[in-house]
Amino acid sequence: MTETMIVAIFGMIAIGVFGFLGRRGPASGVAEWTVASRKFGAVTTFFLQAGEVFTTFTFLGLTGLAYATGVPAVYALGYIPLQYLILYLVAPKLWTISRDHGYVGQPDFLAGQYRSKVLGCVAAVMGFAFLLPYLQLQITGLGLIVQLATGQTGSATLSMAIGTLLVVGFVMWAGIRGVAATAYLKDILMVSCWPSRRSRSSSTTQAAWAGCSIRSPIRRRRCSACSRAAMTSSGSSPTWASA
Amino acid sequence: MIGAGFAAFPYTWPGILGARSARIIQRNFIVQPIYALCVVVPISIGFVGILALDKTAAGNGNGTLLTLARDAMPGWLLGLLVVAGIATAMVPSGALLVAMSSMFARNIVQVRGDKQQYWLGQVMVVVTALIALLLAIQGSNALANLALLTFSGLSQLVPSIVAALRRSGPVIHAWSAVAGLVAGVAVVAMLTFTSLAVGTWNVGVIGLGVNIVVVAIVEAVLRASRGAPLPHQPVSTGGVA
Repeated sequence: MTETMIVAIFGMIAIGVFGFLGRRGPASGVAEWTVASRKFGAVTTFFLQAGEVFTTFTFLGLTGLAYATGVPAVYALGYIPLQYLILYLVAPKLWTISRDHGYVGQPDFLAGQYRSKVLGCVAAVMGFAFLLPYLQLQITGLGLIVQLATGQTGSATLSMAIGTLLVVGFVMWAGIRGVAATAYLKDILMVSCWPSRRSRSSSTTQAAWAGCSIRSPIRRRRCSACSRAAMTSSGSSPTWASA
Repeated sequence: MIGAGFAAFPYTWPGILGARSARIIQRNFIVQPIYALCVVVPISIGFVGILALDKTAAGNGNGTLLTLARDAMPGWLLGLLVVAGIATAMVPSGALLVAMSSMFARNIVQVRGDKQQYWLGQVMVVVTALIALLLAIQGSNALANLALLTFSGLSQLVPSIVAALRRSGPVIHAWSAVAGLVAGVAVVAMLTFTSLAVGTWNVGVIGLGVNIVVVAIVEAVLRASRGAPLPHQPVSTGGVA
């Protein structure tokens, strides 16, 4: 057990505890569990969106991409705002229709709007089948981060198991509120991560950092980038860039 | 990108639908792009990697960040970085599990009753997560083919969603949507696995093209025989599932 591994395990447990604390009273209904009875405020919505859409999906392997291909990676700067522009127009409509009819998810929306359980089922089967490998990718990425950082091969399996069990725990207990709570913690962690690091660059990388460092708080994103970087090296390469 | 813009990815829905008002969502997507400027950082780190790392030792580049970090940081701080990385894996995993288990209970098995759906959802959280965990631990490639289809395949949902954005109901028949969806996914799968030459075109976009054409054809046939889809009856507002 190295220092790094101990910090990592305690950190994971802290994330899990945060998720458990997200619960507001017994969540025994589907609407409370999946969409928090539609009661999230602006700040929670922001962190939830930033946490689930932005980080994994659009960042996937961006560091690796920049490393491997160079400047073309910069085009991500253009397409992310573009996709938010569309969502700005579309998402409020989705929300209003879903509230009026009580939809709690995408297949629900389709099944209800089209009055077709077949369409809902087809969409749900597709969603389930295509998202399962994505979930596997998240877990693999988690293990890879720990393994790359500690240099011990056994550490990956242990951390994947602990991480998954914690996620299962807080998702069952608190549903989407648990996810929202961990999204908060994630951003706090990233903020706390960046300032202390600047003074500690070793001589090997210092020159390089000085060459292209950006002296602003957005340096903190380095933390989250590691998971994305790690995720893509797990064998599959989703075509996230332009679909 | 089109897929993300039109909410084709089911795991983003609970976050959108959970908001208190449509206004909050609208403001949210005004603020998010500012946050999105942060992509400068991982890109910069990749550039740093080009300068700082020994090409032969660094492999495919995806370990760039951690390779840099391991050289530069003391153990505890590296641990903190790792925790932040773990968080970015755990948060989306949670969102995925919420979306997947609820859609399994409500739309695949279609059990009746809120309580029953809730409990089946709970069971599915455990089952789904354990399957994914076991596959991850084994380093299994069993789902590798599916993973290739994740984004281009889910993007095929876009026409169905767009056509259903009208408040009084969708502008096309359900069967047109189903036919387009199936055709789109089939084309995407075919192009992905047969390595048919498609030039610089993205397979998801080609799939969408076929998808829309099929929707149009089936819709034309259905309208000829049954007429346009009927608008929904007005619904009471404020209902929660």
